[in-house]
Amino acid sequence: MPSDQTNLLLGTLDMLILKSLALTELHGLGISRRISQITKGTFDVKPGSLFPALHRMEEQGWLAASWGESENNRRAKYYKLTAAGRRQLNSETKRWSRISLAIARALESN
Amino acid sequence: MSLFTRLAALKRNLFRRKQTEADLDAELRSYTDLLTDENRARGLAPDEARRKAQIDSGGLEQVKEAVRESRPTAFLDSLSQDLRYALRLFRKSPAFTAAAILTLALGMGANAAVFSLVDSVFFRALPFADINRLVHVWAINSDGDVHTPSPSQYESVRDSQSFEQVAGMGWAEFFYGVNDSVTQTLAGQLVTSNWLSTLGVQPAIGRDFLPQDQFPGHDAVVMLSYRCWRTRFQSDAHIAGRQIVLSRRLVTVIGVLPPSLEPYYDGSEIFAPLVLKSYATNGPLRDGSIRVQIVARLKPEVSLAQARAETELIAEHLRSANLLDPRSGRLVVDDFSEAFRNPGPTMQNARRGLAMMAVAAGLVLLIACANVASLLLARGIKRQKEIAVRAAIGCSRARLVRQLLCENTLLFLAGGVLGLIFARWSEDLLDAAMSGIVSNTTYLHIDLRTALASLAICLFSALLFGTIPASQATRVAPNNTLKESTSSVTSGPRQQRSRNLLIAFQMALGMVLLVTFGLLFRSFRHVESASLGYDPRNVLTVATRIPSSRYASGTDRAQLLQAALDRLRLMPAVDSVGIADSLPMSGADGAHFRIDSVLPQVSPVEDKISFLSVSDGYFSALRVPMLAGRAFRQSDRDLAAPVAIVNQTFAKQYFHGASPVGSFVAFAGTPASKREIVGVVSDFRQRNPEEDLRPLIYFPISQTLPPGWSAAIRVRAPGDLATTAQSIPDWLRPIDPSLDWEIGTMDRQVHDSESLTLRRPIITLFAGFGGLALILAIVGIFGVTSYFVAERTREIGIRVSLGAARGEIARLVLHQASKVALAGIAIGSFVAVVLTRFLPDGSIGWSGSGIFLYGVSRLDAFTYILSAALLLLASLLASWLPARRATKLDPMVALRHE
Repeated sequence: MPSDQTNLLLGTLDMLILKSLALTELHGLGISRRISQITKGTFDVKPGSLFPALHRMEEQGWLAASWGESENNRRAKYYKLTAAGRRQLNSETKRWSRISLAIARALESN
Repeated sequence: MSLFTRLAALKRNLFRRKQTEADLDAELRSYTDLLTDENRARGLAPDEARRKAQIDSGGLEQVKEAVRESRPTAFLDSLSQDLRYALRLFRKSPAFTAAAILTLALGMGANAAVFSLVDSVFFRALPFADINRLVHVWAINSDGDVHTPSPSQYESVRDSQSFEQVAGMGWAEFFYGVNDSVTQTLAGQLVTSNWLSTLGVQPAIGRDFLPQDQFPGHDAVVMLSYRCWRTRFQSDAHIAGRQIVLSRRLVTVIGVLPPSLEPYYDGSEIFAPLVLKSYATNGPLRDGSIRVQIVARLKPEVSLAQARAETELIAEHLRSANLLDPRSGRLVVDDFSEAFRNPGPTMQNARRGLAMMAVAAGLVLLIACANVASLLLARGIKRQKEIAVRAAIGCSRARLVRQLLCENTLLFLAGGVLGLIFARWSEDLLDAAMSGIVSNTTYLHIDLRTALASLAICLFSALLFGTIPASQATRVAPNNTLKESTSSVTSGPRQQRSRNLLIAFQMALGMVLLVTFGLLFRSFRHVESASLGYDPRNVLTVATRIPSSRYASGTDRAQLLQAALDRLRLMPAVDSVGIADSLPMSGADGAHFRIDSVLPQVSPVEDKISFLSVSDGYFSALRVPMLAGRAFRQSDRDLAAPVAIVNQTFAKQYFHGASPVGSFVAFAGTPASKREIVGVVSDFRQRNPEEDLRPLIYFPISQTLPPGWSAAIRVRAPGDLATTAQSIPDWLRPIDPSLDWEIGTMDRQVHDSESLTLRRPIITLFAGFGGLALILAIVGIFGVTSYFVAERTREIGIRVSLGAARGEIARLVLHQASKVALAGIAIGSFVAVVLTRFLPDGSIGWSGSGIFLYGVSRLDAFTYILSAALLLLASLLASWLPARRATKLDPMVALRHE
């Protein structure tokens, strides 16, 4: 577990989940591991935050879930992006880069 | 998120909960399994791998809870959970549930009934369509006063161009035979066939009048008022088309008016077509002549100003034709709702009475709610263990409070609904008891508006009175409560204080109710025994209405009058007979008079004075003494010598001590109508037993010959009343077999006077409310004192074993109860002093009032002391049983009491 566990804002968690599912479908543990991977270990999402977010996003129509088999032939619930989810990811990405650019500029200015 | 997705989610969460939960459970377990696999792949032993996986996953239940809470329907989920839990709890403690719901039902039911009256009198918009287009038309006569127009004035207005509909209303009385010998007079109105359509109102049952119903021969149809239909015809569902006999005529009932119209037509029960021609000659007199009320609807394109301009032209035409006073006569077009905005004194008094009833009902509801809150507090203490356990496993305080609040609200709502059902079932009973307060101008009807308002009050009370017990019950320190090995009920000083506060609150409100009841009741008794100025005992009344078709000439009427007088005087057991056009307690007409005196110190004056017509022998039949001059004689029938008698108040007010005998009175504007005052009679009440005395002028009835009059018949002994009453129809039949006679007693007239009729329902209701408050207070104190004893069981055991006498123990308990009661009584007295300021006293005027204090001051010590004593006695009574139980405690058992 990384030593600095940063607090995740709700919106950013959603975005990270969407991003992690951009290429392939994953089960809950897989999503957590992927997020850890793509953020280079900054965020380690615990089930207590992960599953509420996953279910919420599923209800909102951004994710679709189905039961499947894992590598070790275990039953697991897999999530994938829907079309709406993909659109959401796009708009979130654009929004986030706008925000981070603005903040970076603000911090640089004297 | 689209609506569809939201609905799909809702469906899933509400209807497929089990499946969803199972699914979630499986998913989380699979997570842990996958994590275990990961750990094993990393080289951990199987047991170690699983243990580490479980730790890393965190508590499965907490995760599930987190998922549930994040769902959009989380709130509904937990709410339905709370509801199901609440219902289960209620089923387990039926006695408590029943007691709470019943108490609330009584309070809510009373309020629902009062609200429906308040709504129809104060709040409800009038039921007329497009009321801004409706107008009244009045006439101003020579006296400068506003009057109801005459029939010819109505006809002229009817033909005007500004109105799309002009309706006329007259008055009539109908004799309705309940059975062969008993006839009752029903007040009624004669209306043109377009009356309802002018107002824009539909009949509730049956059909409206048709234009052809206005023609003589076709007018044997009537409509009933809603009240008449409910009370006299028992809500007969087949009333339309039914034939009844009214005033010896077979008529068909064609419809029933809606209850919303009740306040508008002031107690009339029968509505028949207005046949203008015969009405113009035979109609009853109002203010001295026949009148037709005009209500009209403006044409859509016509403004009020335009209508007024046109009416001015009509008035011009009427003045030149002498159908309106040539000098000062005018027609006035008034906005329709004007009449409702300025109600007369009777209506104002009735409204005040109703407002008071609403406050009283509110107080009763508060007492009921406080009682239930007390019960809830007690129950909260019992459930401490259960709540502590839930708090210990992580339930937040907010969640606990929400659950308890849900339970409490459910209780209140159940009580509210039950109360509404009670009120609906007993609508007739409640109407008989309550609507007399607004003198029969509304019909108590529990409808949707009332139901919704009651439920709103219900919810509000639930929040107000359910929150404190809920928050108190959840204020637990789980550690301490769970460690307690006792199963006893324990409560800290805070809970005891809350209970005492609630009891004191109930006592205070009870005090207010009892004091108000006491003051009103004493006023009522004083009014009942007020000195009337005449002697109503042993006097029969016989009333009739003379059909002008057969008694058109004055001679015929005079003959009938004299014949009736003579025959009645001949009856055995009759002491004396007098006739008047308006018996005491029936009020009197008023008109403008001019007083001309020969005395130099009295200048001519014009004023509005009440007047009525009486026969010779009338005053002596009523045992009213003459103070000066003479009474009317048989010879006072010749109009060549018109005379009048005045009462003492008249003499005092206009003649300041000098004798008015020999001076003259005349209707202002017609000096030719002047009459010489020949006598002064002692004052007696004409409208209400407690009315302020006013100047009155009496004319000889043989000179005025009104179309309706009543005889007052004094019998020699009380025992003769019944026998004489029975034989009157036979005695009078020879005069004219077709006349109807309504027989009653003078005592009954007093009993039915406006004031007493208004007071009776109010004090009945206050008695009921006061009684209810007492019962609730007793129950409340009993509960709280029982708790007190139960809690102090060990302490009592110690005291007894240390030598305390039984009496001391009892005193301890009673002292506790009465301490709280006295505090409440003291506060209540103070509040009562403040609130009774709304009970008017002083000069009553001429209209009856249900709430005027009469003969008793607002701070009547006797009432206050008696009420306080009653409440104190109730509290002692309530705590007697627990006190007895306390004294019977075996110290050995008590000491071991856990």
